[in-house]
Amino acid sequence: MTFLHKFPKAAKVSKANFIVAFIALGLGGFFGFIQALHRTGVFRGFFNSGEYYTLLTGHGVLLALIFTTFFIAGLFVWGVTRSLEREPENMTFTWSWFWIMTIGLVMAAVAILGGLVPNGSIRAAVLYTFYPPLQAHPMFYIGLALVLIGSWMAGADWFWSYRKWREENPTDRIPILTFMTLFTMLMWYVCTIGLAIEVVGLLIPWSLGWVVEIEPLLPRTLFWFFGHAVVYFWLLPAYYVWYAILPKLSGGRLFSDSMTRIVFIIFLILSTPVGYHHQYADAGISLGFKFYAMATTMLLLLPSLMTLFTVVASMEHGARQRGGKGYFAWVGKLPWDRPAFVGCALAGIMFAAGGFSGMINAGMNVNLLIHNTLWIPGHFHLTVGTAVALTFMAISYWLVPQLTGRKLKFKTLALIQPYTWFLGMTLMSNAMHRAGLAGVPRRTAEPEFNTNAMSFDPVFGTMGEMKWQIAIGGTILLISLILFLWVITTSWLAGEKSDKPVDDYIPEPLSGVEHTPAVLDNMKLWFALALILVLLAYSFPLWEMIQDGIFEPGALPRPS
Amino acid sequence: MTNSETSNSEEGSNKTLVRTLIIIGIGIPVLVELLTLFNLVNVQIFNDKTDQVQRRSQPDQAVEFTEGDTLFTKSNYPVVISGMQINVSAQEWVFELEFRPSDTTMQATPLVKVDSLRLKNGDLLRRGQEWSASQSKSMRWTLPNGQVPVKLYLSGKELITEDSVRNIHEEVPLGSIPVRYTRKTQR
Ligand code: HEM
Ligand SMILES: [Cu+2]
Repeated sequence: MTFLHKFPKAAKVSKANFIVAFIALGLGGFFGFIQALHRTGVFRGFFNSGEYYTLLTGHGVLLALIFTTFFIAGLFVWGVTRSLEREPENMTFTWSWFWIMTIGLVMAAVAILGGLVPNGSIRAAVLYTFYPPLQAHPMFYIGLALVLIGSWMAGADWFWSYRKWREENPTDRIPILTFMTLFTMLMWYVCTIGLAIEVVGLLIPWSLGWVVEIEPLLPRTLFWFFGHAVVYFWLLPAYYVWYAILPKLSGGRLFSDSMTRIVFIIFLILSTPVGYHHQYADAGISLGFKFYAMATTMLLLLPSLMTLFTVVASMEHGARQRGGKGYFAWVGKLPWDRPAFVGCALAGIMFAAGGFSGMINAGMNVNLLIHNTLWIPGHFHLTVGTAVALTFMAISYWLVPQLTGRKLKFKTLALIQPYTWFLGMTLMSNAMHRAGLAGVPRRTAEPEFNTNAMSFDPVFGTMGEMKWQIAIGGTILLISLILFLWVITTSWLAGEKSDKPVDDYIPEPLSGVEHTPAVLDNMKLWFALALILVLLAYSFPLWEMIQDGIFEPGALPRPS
Repeated sequence: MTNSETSNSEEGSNKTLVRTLIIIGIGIPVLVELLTLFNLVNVQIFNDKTDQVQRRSQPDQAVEFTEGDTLFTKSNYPVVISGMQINVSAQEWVFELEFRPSDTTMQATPLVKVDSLRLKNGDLLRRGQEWSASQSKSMRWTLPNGQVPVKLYLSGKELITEDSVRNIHEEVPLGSIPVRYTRKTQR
C-alpha cells in the first residue's frame, strides 16, 4: 500500500498539479538555456533580441511563479492528506481551485507567448516583476489574479481538512506536515494582500485603460510587499522536504519537532516586513525605513541557520545509524547513490552558498555595488533555481512513485541528474556573480561582454572566460533538465507497477512533539503578530508616500 | 527498503559511477569556487590595484563648479556660489543660483554679470543678470522642463584706475546640480 492506494482522490489532485509544474519547468528551463546562449553571444540564432524579453518573462513567470506554485500545491495535498489521514473534504471544491489556477496560468502564458507571434497584438514582455510603466495585455494580469485566487482556495482547502480533523481529534497536536503547510499558507495570505491590491486595484484597471496614469513607486512597493515573502513561499516547501523527508532519506529521523515549528513561526512573522530590502535604490522611501528592513532581514538569517543546524544534525544521525563515525567521516556514509537524497543534499549545500551572496544583497550599502547586475540572477539561481528547484526535482523521485504506484525507471540517469545540475549551476552562477561584480547588467539581450563601448573591469579573469562559463553552465543545466523530465515521464507512463514502489515510511522525530510547547500551535496568536508587524513596517512608509503624492501620478519626484 | 536493493555486481558498478559523479559533479564545483576565492583574496590583498584606480580617478575634464566653490579666484573680487539648485514644482522647473562675496573681496563695487547659461541640450539662455560683487545676490531662471544648465558665462568689470576698466570673461562649467521638489505652488 502506498499513497495512491490509500488516498486515490488526493493522489489524482497531486498528480494533476505535478503535471502542470513539470511542463512549466520544461518550457521555462528551455527558455533559460536560450537566454544563456543569446546574451553571451555564443549563439543568437533562436530568436532576435526584441523577443529576448518575451522569453525572459516566460522564464521568470513559468519557473518562479508557476512551476513553484503548482509543485507546492501538489506537495501540500500529499502532505496534508497523508498526515491527517483524510482525503480532501469536497472534491468539487478541490478540483475547482486546481482548474482556476490552471486557467489563470494558461491566460498568462498565452499573453506572454503572444509576443513571439509576428505583429501580434497580445504581448506581455513585462518580466516576472511586471513593474509599470511596462504594460502587458490585460489577459496577463487577469490570469495571474486567477492563479492567486486559486492558491487562496487551495489554502482554504487545507484549513478545511484541518478543521474537520480537529473536530475528531480535539486534543492531538497538529501533525508536523500539516503544521508546516498551514504556516506556509498563513504567510502566503499575509503577503499576497499586497499583490492582490497591486494587480486588481492598479494594474488591471490600468491595462484596460480605465486608469491612465499610475505612480510607479506604489506598484513597486506593493509588489515587494509580496516579493520577499514569496521567496519563502518557495523555500518553505523545500524546508518542509528537508525537515520531514530528508532525514529519513539519509537513514535517520528529524532531530527536533519543536525547532521545526519555531522556524516556521519565525518565517511567518518576519517574511513580509522586510520587503523594502528590494527597494534600496528606489527614491521616495526614507532611508530609515530601508534600514529597518535591512535589520529585519539580518534577523531572518536566524531561522535559516537553525535549519542548517537541524537538517545537518538529522543527516548526521542518519549517517551514524548507517555506521558513520568520526567528526566528518560520517558524511561518506550518507546514501550518495540515491537520487532523491543526493538532490536534496546538494540543493542544501547550494542554499548555503546562496545565503552568502544574499547577505551581500541585504546590506544597504554593499547592495549598490551589485544592484541590477548579473550578480542578482547569479544569487537567485542558487536559491530558487537550485535550493528550491533541485529539491523539488529530487523529491519527485520519491513522491511520483507514491502517486502513480509505479517504480522509478532509469535510476542511473536519475542519479546523474542532480550531480549535473549542481555542476552546471556552479559554473553558470559563479560566472554570473563575477560578471555582476564587474558591472555587467542583468536583463539585457546584448552580449555586453564583448562590446567595447562598455569596458568592464573584472576583478580577475576575463569577460570572455565568464561568457563561456555561463554558456557551458546553461547547457549542462539543460541536459540535467532533460534527464529529469525523461526519467519522470517514462516512470510515470511505463514504470513497473508495485504495491510499494518506494519505502515511504517516515519515522518520528528524535525529540518528538511531546517536548514541543503548546503555544507553538496557536495559529491565531502568530497570525495576529504577523499582521501587527506588517502594519508597523508598512503603515509609516505608505503614509509618507501618500504625503509625497503617490496618488498624484505625473508629479515630479520629491527630494530623497 | 528490501525491494529497492540491487544485486552485488550492480552494486560494484554503482560504486564507480558514484565515485565518478562525486569527482565531476562536486569536485569541479568545489575547485571552481576555491579558485574564485583564491583569486579574490589574491587581488584584494597582494595585487595593489591603486595605480589603476588613480589613473581612473584623474579628471579628464576641466574642473566643474558646484555649490561652495569660488569664482574669479585670481581677481580682486572673488565670489562664492552659495546656492545652486533646481527647484521643481508641478508647474515649473526653475534654476536657482545664489552668489555671495568671498571673505577676501577687497574692491568696493565691481560689477559682475551672468551673461548667459548653456543648457544640456545645447541651447543658450540669454537672460543676463548683473550685480555688485560685494553683495549677495540670488537669481532664478525658468528652464524648459527637464533641462539642466551645464555652463555659465560670466563677465566682470574690474576697475584698474579711476577711469579705466578691464573686462573679464569667464566660462564656468557646472557640476551636477541637485534637483529639489516642492509640492507647494511657487509664489
Ligand atoms: C535550465 C536551467 C536554467 C538556465 C540555463 C537559466 C538561465 C537564466 C539566465 C541566463 C537568466 C538571466 C537573464 C538576464 O538577466 O538577462 C535567468 C533569469 C532568471 N531565472 Fe533562470 N535559468 C535556469 C533555471 C531557472 C530556475 C529553475 C528558476 C526558478 C525556479 C529560474 C528563475 C529565473 C528568474 C526568476 C530569472 C529572472 C528573470 C528576470 O530578470 O526577469 N531559472 N535564467
Ligand atoms: Cu528579499
